[in-house]
Formats: sequence, structure tokens, C-alpha cells
Amino acid sequence: MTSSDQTEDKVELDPSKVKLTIDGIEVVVNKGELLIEAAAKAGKFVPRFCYHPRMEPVGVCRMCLVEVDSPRGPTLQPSCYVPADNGMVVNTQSEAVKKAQNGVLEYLLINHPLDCPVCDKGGECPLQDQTVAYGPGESRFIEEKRHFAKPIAISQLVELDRERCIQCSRCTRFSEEIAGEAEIDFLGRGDRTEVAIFPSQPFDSYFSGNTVQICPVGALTAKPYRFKSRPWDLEQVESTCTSCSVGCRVAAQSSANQVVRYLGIDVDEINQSWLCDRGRFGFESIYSANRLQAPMMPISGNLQDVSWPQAIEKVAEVFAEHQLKGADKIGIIGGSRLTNESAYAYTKLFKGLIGTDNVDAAPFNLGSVNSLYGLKTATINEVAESDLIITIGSNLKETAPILFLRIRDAILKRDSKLVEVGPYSTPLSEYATHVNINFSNFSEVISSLLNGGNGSDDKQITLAAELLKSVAQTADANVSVAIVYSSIDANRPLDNLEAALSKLATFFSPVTVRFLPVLSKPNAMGVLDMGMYPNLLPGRSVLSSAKLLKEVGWEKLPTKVGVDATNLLEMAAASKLDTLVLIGTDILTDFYDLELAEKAVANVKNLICIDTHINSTNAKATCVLPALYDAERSGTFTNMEGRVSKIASKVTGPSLAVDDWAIAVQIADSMGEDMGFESLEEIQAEISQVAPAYFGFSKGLNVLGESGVVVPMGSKPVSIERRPHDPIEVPGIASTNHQGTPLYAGAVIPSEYSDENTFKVGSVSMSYFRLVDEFKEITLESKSAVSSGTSGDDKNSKSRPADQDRNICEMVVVESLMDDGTLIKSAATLSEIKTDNVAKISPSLANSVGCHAGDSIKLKLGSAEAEFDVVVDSGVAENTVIVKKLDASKVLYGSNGLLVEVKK
Amino acid sequence: MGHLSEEIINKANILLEIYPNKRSALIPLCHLAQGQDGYLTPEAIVEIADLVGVTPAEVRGTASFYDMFHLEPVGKHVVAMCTNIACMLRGADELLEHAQESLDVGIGGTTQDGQFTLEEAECLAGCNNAPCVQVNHRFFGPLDNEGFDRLIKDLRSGKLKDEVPEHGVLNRVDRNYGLKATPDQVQAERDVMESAKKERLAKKSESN
Repeated sequence: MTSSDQTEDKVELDPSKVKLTIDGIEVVVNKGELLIEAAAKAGKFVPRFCYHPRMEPVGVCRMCLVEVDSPRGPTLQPSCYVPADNGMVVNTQSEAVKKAQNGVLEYLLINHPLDCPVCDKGGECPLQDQTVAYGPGESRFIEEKRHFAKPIAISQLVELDRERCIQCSRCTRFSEEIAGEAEIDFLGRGDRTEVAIFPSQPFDSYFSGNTVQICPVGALTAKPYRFKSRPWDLEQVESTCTSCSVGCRVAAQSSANQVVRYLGIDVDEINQSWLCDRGRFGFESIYSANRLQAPMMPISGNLQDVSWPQAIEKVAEVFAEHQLKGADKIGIIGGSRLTNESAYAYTKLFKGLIGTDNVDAAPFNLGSVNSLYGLKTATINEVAESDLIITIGSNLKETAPILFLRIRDAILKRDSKLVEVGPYSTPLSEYATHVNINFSNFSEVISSLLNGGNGSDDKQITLAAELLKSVAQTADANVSVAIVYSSIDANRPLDNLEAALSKLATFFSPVTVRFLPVLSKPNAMGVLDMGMYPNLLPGRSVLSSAKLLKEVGWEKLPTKVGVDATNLLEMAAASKLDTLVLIGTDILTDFYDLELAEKAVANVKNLICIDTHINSTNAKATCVLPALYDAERSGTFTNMEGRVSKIASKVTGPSLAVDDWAIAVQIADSMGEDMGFESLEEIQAEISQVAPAYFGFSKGLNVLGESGVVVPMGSKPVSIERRPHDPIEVPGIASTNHQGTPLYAGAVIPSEYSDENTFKVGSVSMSYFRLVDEFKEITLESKSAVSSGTSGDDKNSKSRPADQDRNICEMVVVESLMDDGTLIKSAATLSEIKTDNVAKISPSLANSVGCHAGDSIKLKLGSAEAEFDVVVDSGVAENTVIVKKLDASKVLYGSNGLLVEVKK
Repeated sequence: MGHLSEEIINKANILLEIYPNKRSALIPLCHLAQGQDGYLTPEAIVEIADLVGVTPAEVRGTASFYDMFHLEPVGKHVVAMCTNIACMLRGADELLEHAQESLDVGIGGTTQDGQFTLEEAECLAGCNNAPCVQVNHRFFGPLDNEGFDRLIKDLRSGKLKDEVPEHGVLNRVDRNYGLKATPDQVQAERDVMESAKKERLAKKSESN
């Protein structure tokens, strides 16, 4: 009560706040906030089933009834549906409320089976828990309960037990409201209501696991977790999902030293409790039969288990040779699965001790590092709060599913406008102005977008151009623009992407424009930040600016800029490379030029693979080292925003697998070198000390807890009100350190770089990051240059005319979430999901080839030919064919060309 | 080739135009589809979903709410027998029992020859003729056992052909032989409504 006295004056001043009384306690909440949330702020928990803080309220379960005073006297009202208002008097504990809660629970239990002992939810079940706390204790219902066949599979992943369903509609609302794919809906009416799919259309949404996560009873269960554990046997750590570069916060739960379940943690800045199915169920790959159990070396032609000393000795011998002479005859490819600490350790080993710069984690397809580091980065929240969002490149649902959900949410709930510049129609297209692009017309399209659509007869371009113009000319200082960008192709960068981004920034100036890169590989940002790329050194600096590293033992810093993955493989294929080190990459399956990869593997003398699973490439290695993986290791992860968050270990891995950074330390030790660290903390301290963009990050992580810090750390603390933990939001997460926790993030690159300028996070002093000179902020061209029409370099890239007789088309190779990569292939349940083998073409191309949707066409490139099912999509540019990455390898085999022939 | 006939698609397109929101046309479209097939076939549901821009699961879910839509094949005549209070007091329960015996089907079942589906219904608003029965949404009553048998006999022999069309073809859209209002008319009416609304609002703000 004293708190309300203090706030009284403020309330009168602030029209966005209201004051009300809940159980005699006065609280001040935001106007429009629901009573159920206001009650939580007063420290009162109101029981609920259907209410979920990330979805619109519906008030169907009636569990959250509270008494609200009205002119007619107190009435029972659903607190999840009634917004708080000034002067309300609410009672959550009255006799009437208790009687209502009793009644609702007795009613729900009429048909709910009492099979709790064999129900996966038993022990963490909101119905069970709330019956204990608020229920009548006994039932007057003696008749037969309703019966259904149980359980029925509604997809490859999700099973439905209709007897247990209490019709709260959380799952059906999620699939319609959040995912936008209402593949499940209620069927029937009254006591016959059941959740159902359409018979020929399984619930194959990428987000289906979320419905299992939010089900307040055991009606929806996920196959990977069914009967694996009892909730009271579960242990939990908070960690970061490493299946893509969004880096969702997860609760990794294990039982008897086995990971059994991932649940999404409600982090306001990132995933807001949702996960995609790849991230949620991918953990099964930990227990794949293909998991590497021990170091292996070929003995009389066959890979066989060897001891660690044997393997390390072999590797150290090879590396020591390169260290002495021929540092340019060794190349390192891959590494995006690594933690930041492991990436730092490898970079130090290869660049600092061996002295080669031939390190390419192949983490991105953006063309230049500058298009990552030279732009003002947006956080995901900043994207979601922008008035205009422009997406350039990939289909976000395939490459960054949770970012897709966030953007969809922003469009529907915040009315943000979306311009989608992409190679084919995506699920966002229906809310967007979609503009078709391919490789050859990209620059041209961007130019005409900025010219108000001049020089283009494409209606979509004109529409989008008008939208862009109206935002650019706004006088409102609060308007902001976010540009979410990537290449359109899984392997090749868009020409002139950097120039296009720069033009866009100029076009909108002085309106705030922020950029968010969508990287395809999980810790792509982190391994780049740790220097696993030619010319890069830890902390977003470059070879020529290495000042601090010598002090911590980087003795042999390379002087020459190294070569990238493609060139390394070319060198290997031409026998100009002695040693190829592959870190978690299966180049014989997913490198875009398979013929080159095969030649390279065949001709290289030493092929050293550091991996988690056996794959087609490391089966041919001269030495395979087994590494820890996913929930077995600790460290940090940097997502696409530059947000560093913790990866935590929950289980022990195969007994002989070792964390990557420890492998590096052991190799160095065997070479007679000293890495200078022997624990994660020591690596973090070293990174904090020598990697400019990461100055102070380890202190920051410790001060700020689990929410992570955005590097380089900014000056403006952003405080988000901490929400009380809601035990019913995600049943199964009993507590988290992070539920809408306050976050200190900032303008990601401070506007004035000054080493002296320090700021405080908690009690810790931190200083600004100075961007190295090589990554100057991408400069703004003069406005007139941007709007003066097609610039010189665009003239050469007019779209190629289609060959009249043979349909020669540009092939764009796109990523898909459920690809056939190592993760999916070795995850028991996900690997069973069939993906379709389709090629998307524009209506006009379909016309000229003479095929319809559902027909099959052949794509021919050189001597290779493959058949695909046709999808006709008006979002595909003329003379372009879209295929998925791993399907494409069938056609791409033998060449890295881009023109294919389309035949019926 | 689509499953729904061209004629139905044409009607559907008119319907889709008169609603401000496409999905509002869902139920009339279901009636049209049921008119073609006698029940809502999965193929029709997929096409309706496509027309109104929702998923097939949503169409099926919505249709399943209403007793007038059938998601499984039904007989040529759907006999719905009211057992609510007025009819019950006048012997509906006994009549229903008799009907099951004489048709040799259970409630919800269809006769072997595919002629009749027997249903138990909630109040059909025919209390003045209790116990009342609907056959393909046409009223009959009051009925006793003999009356019911006679009705079945007449339906079987085709005597009532003009009065009781086949199941599925009875709905409001069809009864009026299509839509009487043209899209222009609809638009004009909407404009009138809008301007009236504006006027009211203007008056309201003036009085404030």
C-alpha cells in the first residue's frame, strides 16, 4: 500500500497507467493490461488454462473468473479478457470465485480421463495441479465418460489424445494466430468437440511442436518425448538453440543423463517462448547411431577406433610440419557449429600458432564481411517494432523460422508494412508487397524501387516504390525502417548487395534504417567474430590491426590474407594443398560443387576431420576426432543480432568425445605450444581482453544473467519490465532465470567510438568498441546519385533473354529448414519426415515449357539431369527456376554454373 | 478439372463478392457444395477452402458445427425426428423407436438401399405439429406410427418427388434461384449504410 502512495502523483500525470484494487492491494498497471496480468503484479495468481500471454485472449475455459465490482454489485468476469481500468475493485479469492473455480474444474473433469499415471503430462499438468489447488476434490458425475481412439497421430511428430482435451483452444489458436497455418481446428460441437486435422492434410507445420508445448493437459504429445521420462525426474538447464542463427532460448531437459526434451523459454527479445520443430526435435541427433564415439584413423584401408594420444600425435605431427614450413599448404573449412570459445581456440591454433590464414568457416553467403560489419545492426525487437520492414533474399520461414514468426506478428499486430524482395513467394507474401528478383535483375530492381518505379512495367515494383517513398518522405521522427537481408541463394552472394544496402540507407536518410543479416549457419556470426575467415581476427578486427594478440601468445600471425573455401578446394584438387581440416562440414554432401569436393578429398594428402557424426566425407579422412555437441558442451553463441548468450551443457557426451576447444589445446600441447588457457573461463577472459567487439562481454554475461548481451555493447540500457513467471504458459518449465528480464542492449554500434568513453552495467565498467578502420560504416552516397537511375554497373546485368527453343534459365538454389543435412538425417523422428522434390517456376516459363503445376520437369546442366515436380509461382522472376539446396546437388554435380535447361 | 461444377463455381464467385470478407461466404458455399454431392465431400471442402482463403481443416471444423451439413455420405432422404419436449410429450420417443424398427437402421444410420438416413434432432420449430419430422428440411407432422410408415412408402415410391427434393439441394441460396441482388446493388446498399453511419457519428460528435 505504501508503494501506491508513492506512485499516486505519477499516475495522475501518466494517462497510460491505471490504478485499481485487487484483493485490497492497490496496483498501478498499464492501461489496457488484462486483469489476469494485473493480478500477477499484485502477487495474486489466478488459475487459467486457455490464457497464454503471447496469444490473444479468448476467455473460453472460464477458469480465471474473478469478481469485479460493478454498479449492479460484484459480478464474475473472466480476468483474461477484461482490461484493467481506473478504480476497479477486483476480488480473486471470494467465496463466489472459489465456487466458480470448483464448478469449472468439476465440469472439466467430467470427461477428462483419470489416466494421469500413464500420461506424460502427469506431474507437470496444469489441470492436475489446479485441481489440487482449486478443485472440488470429488465429482458428482457417475456416468460414462466420452471415449475416443487414443492416441492418433496427426503428423509425423505430434500425437493427439482427444479424451484428454479440455477444448482450451490453445493449439488451434496458435496454429491460426501465430503460425498462420490452421491445419488443426475444432470438429463437432458441444460434448462431441474434438481437435482434428483435415484427413488428407497432416499437421505438418514447422511450428507444430509449440502446440505440444502449450497444451495444458496431455492431449498433444510429441513422439520424441512420449514415455521417455516423468516430469519429476527431469533436470533442466537454460541454453541456446544452435539450429539456426536466431539463437532461441531453450530449456534443455534431461532424464538419466539423456536429453529428452527442449522447451522454448519466453524471452521477449528473441523467441517469445516459440521454437521451430527443427530446433525443438533436432536434439535427437545426439543419440544417432552415426555419432562418433572415438578418434578414428584408417588402418589397412578401413577407419578404425584409435586412442586419443595416437590421433593427437598424428595431427600434431602434420600441423607442426606446416608450422615450420608451408603454412599456406594447409586449409581449414567449416566450423559454424562451434561455440565462440572453441572458434577462438581454433583460430588461435591455426592463425596464431601455425600461422595460416586459410581458415574459412564458410559461414555466410553475403559476399563481403563488410556487408555484415559495416551496417547499423537491428535487434530482432527493433525489426519487429519498425514501421517498414524490407526483406531481401531468403525465405525466412526456411532460414530463420522464429524471425519469420516475429515479423508476421509485427505485421498483424503492429500493422508494420512489409516489402519482400525475394526469388519466390513465401508465407509472408500475402501480407507483403512482393517484388520478384533473381541474380541478374537484382541491382536493376533495387534501382527502380528507389526511382519510384520508373523504368519498370512491373506493377509490384511500382507499388513497393510508392510505399518506400512515402516512408522516406515522412516527417515523423519516430518512423523507422528495418532491412532484413541475405542472399537469395544458399551458396552464392548477390552481386552488389552491399551497394544496394548502402543505396537503401541513403534513400531513407534521415529516417532511421537498421539492418539485420540472416546468416544461414547457426553460429555464423560467432565464428566470424572469432576470426574464422580469411583476413579476420577475433573481435571484428583484421590481420593488419592485430595489436593485442601478440601479448597473449599469438606468435605466428599470418601476414598474407588467406583463401576461401572454394579456392582451398581448388588448390586441394590440384594437389597444391597438403592438409585439409574439416570442422563439422560434410563437403561431399553439401558443398555446392560436388565434383570439386570429390577431387579435393581424393587429392589432398592429409584429411583431418573434427566432427560429431560419421558422414560421407570423414569416412575418407586420415584422422577423425570426435567432438562434443549440442547439450553436451558449454560456451557462448552469437546470433544474427550479435547477441551473445550462453550454451549450457546438460548431459555427458560419448565417453571419448571432447569439447572442441580442448581438442585444440591438446593438439597445441602435443606440438609443444602453449595455448595459454585450460578452461572456458580462461578463454572467455582472453576474448574479453583481446577481441575488440567483445571487450567486457564475459563480465557482461555474468552481470546480465541469461538474457545475453549484444556485442559490441552499447551505452543505452534498455529496460524491459520483468514479467512474473507464469507456470501455465509453458507447462514443464517450473522456473527460469529469464522471463522478460531487463536487458542492457544498445545502439549496437555506438555513434561515437571512443576508447575512453566508459559506461556502467551494474557495477561493472565497460568501454565502447572502436570499429576497426577496415569496417567503416558503409558510407552514404549522395542522394542525387541514388535517385539518378540505373548506375553504370547495372547495365551489364540485364536479364538474359530466354533461348527461344531451349528454355535456358537461371537457377536459384534455396535453403530449406528440413533439409537432408547431418542434423536432420541423424535425428530419429525428423529424418522420417518426407520433403518434396520441387522446382518453382514462373507462370510464363511454365507456359513456354508447356507444363502445369503437379507435372514434372527436367533440369539439365551439362551432362547432369534431374527430375522435379513443378510448382508454378507468380512470385518467381521470369526465366528463373528455384530448387532446394540438397535437391540441387543432383543437377549441380560437376559444375558451379547457374544456367540450367528446363525441359518437360 | 475441379470437383465443383462450373455452375456452382459461378454462383460461388457471386457469393464471394457480396461479403466484405471472403471467409464469410464459407457457409453458403458449403450449402452449394452439399447441393451438388448430397454431402460435403473432402474434394469439395478443399476447393471451398481455396475459394475463401482458409484451410480445409477450418472448413471441415466449421461445417461440423452445423447439423445441416453432413461430412459423411447420407441417404437420398435425411429423416430428422425431433425429440424435444413438445414432441416428446406427444410420443416422439416411441415414434423414433418405431422408425428405427421399420427402417431397420439405428439413429444416424442409412438404410441398405441408400434411401433413408435417420437422425434424432433438437427442436425443429414445428411444435404445432408435434411429433414432427423433417425430410430433407421439409416438415411433416403430426405423425403416428402408421403415418410415418405411409410417409416412408410415399417417399420410396416417388410420390412426394416434387415436394421433397434429394438431400442437399435445399438451401436458401437455391430456393431463391440464385442471388437476386447484383454486386452493384450490394455496393449501393453498403454506400447508403456507410453514409448513414457517418451522419449519425457527425450528429453524435456535434451533440458532444
